[in-house]
Amino acid sequence: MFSGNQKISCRQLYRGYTAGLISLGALLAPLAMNRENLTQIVFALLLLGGWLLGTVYVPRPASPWIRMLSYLHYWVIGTMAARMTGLLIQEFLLDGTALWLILGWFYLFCFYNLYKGAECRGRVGEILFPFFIVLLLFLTAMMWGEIELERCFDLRPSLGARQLQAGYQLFCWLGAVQGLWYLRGQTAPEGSFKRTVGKIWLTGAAVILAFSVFSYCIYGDAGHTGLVFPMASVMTLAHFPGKVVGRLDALFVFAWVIGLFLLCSTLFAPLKDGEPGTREKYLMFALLAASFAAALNPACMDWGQDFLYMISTPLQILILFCMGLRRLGKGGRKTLLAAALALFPALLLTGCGGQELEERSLVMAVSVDPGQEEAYHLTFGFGASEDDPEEPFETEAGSMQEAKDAYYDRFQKQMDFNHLKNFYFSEKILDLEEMGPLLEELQTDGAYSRGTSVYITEGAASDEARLEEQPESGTPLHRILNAWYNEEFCRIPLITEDHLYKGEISWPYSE
Amino acid sequence: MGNVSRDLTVNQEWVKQRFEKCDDILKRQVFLDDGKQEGYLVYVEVTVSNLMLEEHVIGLSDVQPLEGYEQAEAALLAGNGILFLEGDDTVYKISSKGYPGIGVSKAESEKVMRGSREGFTESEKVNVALIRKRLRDPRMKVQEQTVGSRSHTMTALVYMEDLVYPRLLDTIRERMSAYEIDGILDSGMLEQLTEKHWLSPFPQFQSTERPDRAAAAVLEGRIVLAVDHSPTVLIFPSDYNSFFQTSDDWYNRFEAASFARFLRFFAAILAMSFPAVYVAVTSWHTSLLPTNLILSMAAARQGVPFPSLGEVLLMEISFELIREAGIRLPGPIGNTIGIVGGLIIGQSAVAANVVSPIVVIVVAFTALCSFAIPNEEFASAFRLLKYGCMFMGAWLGLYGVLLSYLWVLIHLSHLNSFGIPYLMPYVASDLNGYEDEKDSLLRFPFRMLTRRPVFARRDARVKLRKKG
Repeated sequence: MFSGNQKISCRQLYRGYTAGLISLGALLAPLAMNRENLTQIVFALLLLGGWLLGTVYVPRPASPWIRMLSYLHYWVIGTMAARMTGLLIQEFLLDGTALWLILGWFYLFCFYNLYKGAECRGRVGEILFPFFIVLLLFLTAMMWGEIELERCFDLRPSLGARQLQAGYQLFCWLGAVQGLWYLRGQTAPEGSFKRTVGKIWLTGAAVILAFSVFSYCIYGDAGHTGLVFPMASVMTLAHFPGKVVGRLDALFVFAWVIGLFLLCSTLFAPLKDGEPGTREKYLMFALLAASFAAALNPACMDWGQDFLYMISTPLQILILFCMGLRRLGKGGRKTLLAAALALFPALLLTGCGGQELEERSLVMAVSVDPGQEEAYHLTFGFGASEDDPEEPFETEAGSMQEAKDAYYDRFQKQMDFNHLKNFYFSEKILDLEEMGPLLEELQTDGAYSRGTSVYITEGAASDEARLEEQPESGTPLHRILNAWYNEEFCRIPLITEDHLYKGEISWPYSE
Repeated sequence: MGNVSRDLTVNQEWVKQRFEKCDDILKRQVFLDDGKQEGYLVYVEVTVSNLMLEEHVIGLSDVQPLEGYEQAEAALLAGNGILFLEGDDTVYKISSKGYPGIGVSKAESEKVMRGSREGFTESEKVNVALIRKRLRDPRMKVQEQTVGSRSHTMTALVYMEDLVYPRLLDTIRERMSAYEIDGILDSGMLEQLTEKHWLSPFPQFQSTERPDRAAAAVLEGRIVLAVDHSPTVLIFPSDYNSFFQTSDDWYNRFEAASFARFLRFFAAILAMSFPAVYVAVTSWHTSLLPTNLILSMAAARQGVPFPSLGEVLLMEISFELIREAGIRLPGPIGNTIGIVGGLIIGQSAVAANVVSPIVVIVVAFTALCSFAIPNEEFASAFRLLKYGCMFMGAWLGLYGVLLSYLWVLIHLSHLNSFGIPYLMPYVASDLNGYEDEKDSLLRFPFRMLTRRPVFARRDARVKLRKKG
């Protein structure tokens, strides 16, 4: 009588998609969180808001080809989200259990949920949502003693191409809720669809921002260093006052498992109304099996992200844009075209993050020696062709950023660290107080690859940066950062004044 | 079977053939109107008072004309007398007290602290009368139908004409006539035949032995199905929520009722998963427990030869055996064996180091939880699922327990009872403007329960309004 109409109520829509958005956002946004990166999170959320706004006004695509493209997009995000869930479970619940077993069950239940149809899926989300929220609130309450609210004052806006790029990438992930578009007309009452989508965005954005700040208040800039998922890792700190029970991470991880289960269920769901037919169920099973196989491969995250950032999300935006244009009609299209033409020169004036190659200097090595008055003596060695050699740049600066700015002021060129091979630290600087702020900067600025090799030099480090041939066997930067923040030791190769290796030294503590 | 003949001898012949070798069915030649009118009376011995037949014959009795042999046979087997008259092609039913049965007594299950003690009997007629006694409204309709090609069991659908969805009535009639069965001996048989999701461990009919509960269901726009010979009537449609409700929920104050409801919901979750959580935590997630507790649990397990799953299984099965034995044994012995068996087996098992003391606590607590669920059939579903949950907990820790919950949740989400989502009002409660949530996990104050649940017709949902 009431079942079987395969309509999803607006409450089911809200609960299912909000849980998905929050679970993914609260895992990923804190990963980028430092004092400057709140900007990129806000940017990502604004992009998502824009997208969702578009979907409530533009009719969903009817073409099977577009649906297929969209499904591929969701399938890729779903596969990555499933892998993330598997890793979370492995990390916090079932240490030592094979990932295939964990994911196998996860996929089996996803299939079971999908097999039962949209109506059932909506109900499952509706029921699980309160548990999800209660767990998150509980986690926040249990963590309250660990946060330092004064860190909020360190947060500052930062506008730049890097922020926009990272914001776009986060948006690509949060685009997991783009499937809402295909539920237009499938909800009851239909009139509340727009309001519900707005509520999903508002709630999701507020919670993601809150968790990002929350994570920052706990970790500071060190939050995303060496942690699989900062917000999930923070659970290990959660405890009841008085130690009534033990560690609670095994409990709180359920919040993410529930949220990601709901998310994956919506992502893998067929983009059609009603209950899937027998053929579709077989197809769905095959697609889930393929996703399972892909999720077991660690490389799927890299492929998936490349596909997501460069192909599928731009395609989705294009589809939405074209569908929107069609809806606008002839008059609307003309208005939009006029607006775009008017905006175009402005875009040219403002410029974008892209830079020509000749305007960049590819830094190959950076050396750090003690400078005067708490400053560093920094030397940047550049990669260059034989015809156009570039002299190393030496400067006294209080930070890397200051040195970069100084270089730009002098040469009108940006230093590009994407090809940075080595860092050389003078032995004399290791024990100085200045080492801390420098490491913090290296950690928080995403410009430096965590895989960059680090060496210690007995003599002046600047000599090493000048060498044309750079070695490639130092200690990776991320190990140094981990050792620093986790108060452990690590081994770093030592280079003599004669440019010879002299074994390794233990830092910052002796073994 | 054809029409009744005007010729009495033909009718007599039919009766003799049809009820050959039926010694309990008595046939008597009678004469009415000072011997002018010859008749032939047939009745089941014991069901019709001999005294009444001899002295008054039909004068003081309730007489109803019937058409055809089929109706005559049904009436006879229902415990009435039937009378054929010479020169008359109508057969007359002489209503009587029917078959003997247990009289109205206290409800054995579903006991309450406050409210009526009356329970249903094994007679469908009496059961319907017990509902009618509470709802003296001509809009309450009773439609009888016989089921079973050999048992001819009388069933009755009881409903409020202006509250019930007519499609519900059509659906149940369709389902009742979808199978031809030789005999229906209890409402449970009919229940299993007419359920749509018959593989599910969860019942889709609510069963009750309490007339006040059935009357309340009729007032909610639901249908009561009474089956002769069964003291348990069926109520449909039903949802997850209705299995947690008891009659005195509405008789007690809302605070106490809400607390009791909440306890029952919590008990249902624990009845399914508490042993599984114990196994999962002790085998996988010891970090969840404080150090002192885990140390004492480890000490208690010293010398126990089984893994924690083994010892929990052993105790759970022992408990189920005690329970089963307690039901089959006569009342006083049954009660005794429950206490004695539980105590002796539990204590001996601990003393013999077969299980650790904490397992006895876990199993006893789980049993308490399962008994806190008001509906026995519903509780059985949780008791069964507990074993699957335990195996999953042992295999995949809390992840396995979570997967078990997910299975149950997905299953329940797909389940419906006569078109009503089983998980109402926790899902799709927008169908009734979220009104049903006021009488779900918590019971709102009575004055706020102004509307009937979703079972009732959309245009007849107001049940309480202030006068003036």
